[in-house]
Amino acid sequence: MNAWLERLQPLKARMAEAWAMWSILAAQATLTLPWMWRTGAYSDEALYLTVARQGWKALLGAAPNFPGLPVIYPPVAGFLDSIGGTIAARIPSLLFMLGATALVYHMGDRMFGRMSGVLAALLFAVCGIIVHLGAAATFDPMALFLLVLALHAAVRMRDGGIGWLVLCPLALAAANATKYATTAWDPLIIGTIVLYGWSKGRLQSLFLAVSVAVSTAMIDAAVLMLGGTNLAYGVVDSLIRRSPQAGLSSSALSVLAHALLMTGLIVLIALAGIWVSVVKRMPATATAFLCLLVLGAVLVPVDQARLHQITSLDENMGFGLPFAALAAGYALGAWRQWLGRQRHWGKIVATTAAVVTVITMLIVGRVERVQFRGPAAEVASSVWPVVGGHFVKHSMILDDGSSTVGEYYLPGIPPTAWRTFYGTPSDYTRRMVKGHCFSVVMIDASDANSFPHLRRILHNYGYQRLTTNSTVSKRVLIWSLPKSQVTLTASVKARQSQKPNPCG
Amino acid sequence: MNVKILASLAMPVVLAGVLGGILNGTHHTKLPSLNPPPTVAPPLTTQLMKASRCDNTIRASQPFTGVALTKVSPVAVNAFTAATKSKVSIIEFYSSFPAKFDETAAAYAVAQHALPLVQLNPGKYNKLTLRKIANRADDAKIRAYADAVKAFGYCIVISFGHEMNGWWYRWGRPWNTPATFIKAWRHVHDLFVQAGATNVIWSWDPSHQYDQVTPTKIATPASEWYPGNDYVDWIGLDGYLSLDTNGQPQNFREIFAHQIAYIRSVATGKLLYLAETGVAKESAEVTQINDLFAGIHQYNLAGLIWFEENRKSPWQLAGRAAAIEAYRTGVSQYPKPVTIDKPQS
Repeated sequence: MNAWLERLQPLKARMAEAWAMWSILAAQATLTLPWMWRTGAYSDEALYLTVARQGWKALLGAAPNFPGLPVIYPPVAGFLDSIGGTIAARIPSLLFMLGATALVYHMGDRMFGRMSGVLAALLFAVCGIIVHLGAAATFDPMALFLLVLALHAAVRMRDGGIGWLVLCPLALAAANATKYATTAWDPLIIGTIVLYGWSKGRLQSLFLAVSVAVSTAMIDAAVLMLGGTNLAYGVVDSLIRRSPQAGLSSSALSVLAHALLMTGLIVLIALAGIWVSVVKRMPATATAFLCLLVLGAVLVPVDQARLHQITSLDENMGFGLPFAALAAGYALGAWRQWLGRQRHWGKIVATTAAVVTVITMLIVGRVERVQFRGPAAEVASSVWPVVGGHFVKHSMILDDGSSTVGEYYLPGIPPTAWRTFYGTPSDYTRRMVKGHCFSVVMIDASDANSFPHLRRILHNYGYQRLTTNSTVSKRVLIWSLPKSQVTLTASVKARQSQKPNPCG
Repeated sequence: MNVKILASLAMPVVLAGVLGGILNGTHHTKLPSLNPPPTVAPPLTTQLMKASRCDNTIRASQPFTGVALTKVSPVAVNAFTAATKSKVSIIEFYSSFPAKFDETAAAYAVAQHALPLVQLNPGKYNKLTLRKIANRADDAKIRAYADAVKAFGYCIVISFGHEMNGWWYRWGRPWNTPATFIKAWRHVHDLFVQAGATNVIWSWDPSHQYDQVTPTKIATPASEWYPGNDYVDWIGLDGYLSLDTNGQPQNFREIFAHQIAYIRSVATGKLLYLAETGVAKESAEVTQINDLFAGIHQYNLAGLIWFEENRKSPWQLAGRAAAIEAYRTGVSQYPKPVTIDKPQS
């Protein structure tokens, strides 16, 4: 027993040493936890959990529409959802994000020193995107953790044992399989092995890099072969098929502006890290390594700007943040060290500046709405029971984009009953409203002013606005039709006379 | 040589052995195709698909099946053919009109030994587009399109303003009348003829909806919109089987029978097929797919094109094992070539 306790001593000492990391993790958990019950499921979460609820067959069938392998993350989330609902399904995400922060701390500590590690982990942990990823039951947190684990293995590979060489491609391929989009960062992991390991031996770093690249490619290809065409469709849809023609939803400038607001501060500090490296006359490979880290952060904004797409920008920017945070941690740590040497109050000023930076990140994370933040939980708990309560069997529900979430919260209503319109309701939809095909109509209140015609039709054709509590009525407007007025079209008589379905 | 370098050499070799064993053991030895569409058709296809032989080609494989996609995607086509284990004789896609001819998509279809079918949408959100075409205001663009089709050289099916008899597209009611549509159709046809684009099969594709279902929801018999026997080669009918609002599965007869009767009352000597069809994912899907194929036989249609997209309802076959099996059975039980009305030359 004593021998066992003695063996634990170094571990205990290391844990005590890393008090800063534990504090950061506690802060991250404190920031993230409230969002887990403050928000309801958003469309992506609802989709994954709904399909997972339907079982393996549905999951395999959904492969073409999922951004990652449907058999890795969704079953876990689906199982937890079946036990404890949305909040339970989100727990793994928090754990993955805490794990990612711990790894960022360890990498920063190992590469640039303790203070850089602390600052990198702090910047990473308080970023709005990271906070919200920890409270989102999607593929991203698990994929991000695996990507950071691969980066960690790439860093440890230089001085560590062969185990890191084995772990790196396994973690990287697992990240790629969990979310296909992480493949974009594979070259950066390989680059890290080369550039960070360069000083230890050029030949060794090159061999290690090629070995990891080939091994990862082989595992990725094997997964693709095992998955077949269904999986290939999902991969191509995620990685290749996206093009500027897919939908010109946003200007390049607005995409970049949003990215700058969300992660710009970290990226700018990371860029300063490159400058510091040049000024300090660090080896060219060290400067190149910092450039690589910055590149990791700007990959997504540049690509999304090229595609004129802002959808998924925040989710995917998260993958670049560990890279940028490490470079930013280096910059801040080096600056603090330099200022400390120049002036006796230097370290205090530098520390204050770092704290101000972190607070700014916190404020930005609060003020700027993260794209994938779910609606307020009150909406979920108030709106859906109302919709479910007024839905008339064999009729339809009209909504302006929330049917996926509706299917999640109201599993008893058949998926075919939902009719969604995007933008402006078509004339066809308006006529269905007039034809009383819908027993319930729900639209987002923030968009309602753009549908005056629809609202007038709803009013004129007997739809009644439902009373919802004040919080909810600010967001969602619901109309329903008395059961007796709902058109249950295509009656048996009509079917016998071969008439087409009026509302279908 | 140090241990790490040796390990870095050994790892891929060991991994290749392990993965190779797994893949061989599970019979997954082929990488799914991720190829982009070819821009140049292979020589064999050139021989098969030249305009003068296109009618023979399609008739040789009757009753035929095809796939419709909003945008042509090799992966989607491959996934569809792999899942259904059926030959795709027609690949259908959609395009704004007047606009640039999508030669890449058409060439891809040809490379797959399939006929390209392009659905030209004259102003999806602009009611004036059809009128401009009818009033000859867009002639320059249409001539350019016709020239590009002619230069393409392979046989191609063109459908203009599909589902015109419904109420959901701007080229239909209430924004435009049958008279305007017919005038526009004939004018486009004539411009292609003038350009020498004789490699076009003109497919007129109305919707199955044939009567008004609410006071303002206007769907009319397709016969009102027929441009005339001299201007149409094929007729493609669009319609889907789903559940009605009573939750009852719709059948072939209630969806298509009336419109087929209207079409046959005005169109003589035309090949009739389903230009866009599908069965929604629900409990009766197998019965409905069987019914769809039975209807093709019963009503003597030339074939069907499956709409492999999830839009208004989940039509996509991918991932629906029972539906795919029913589709395969339907295709395998196609009878010997049925008697088809001879297409116009």
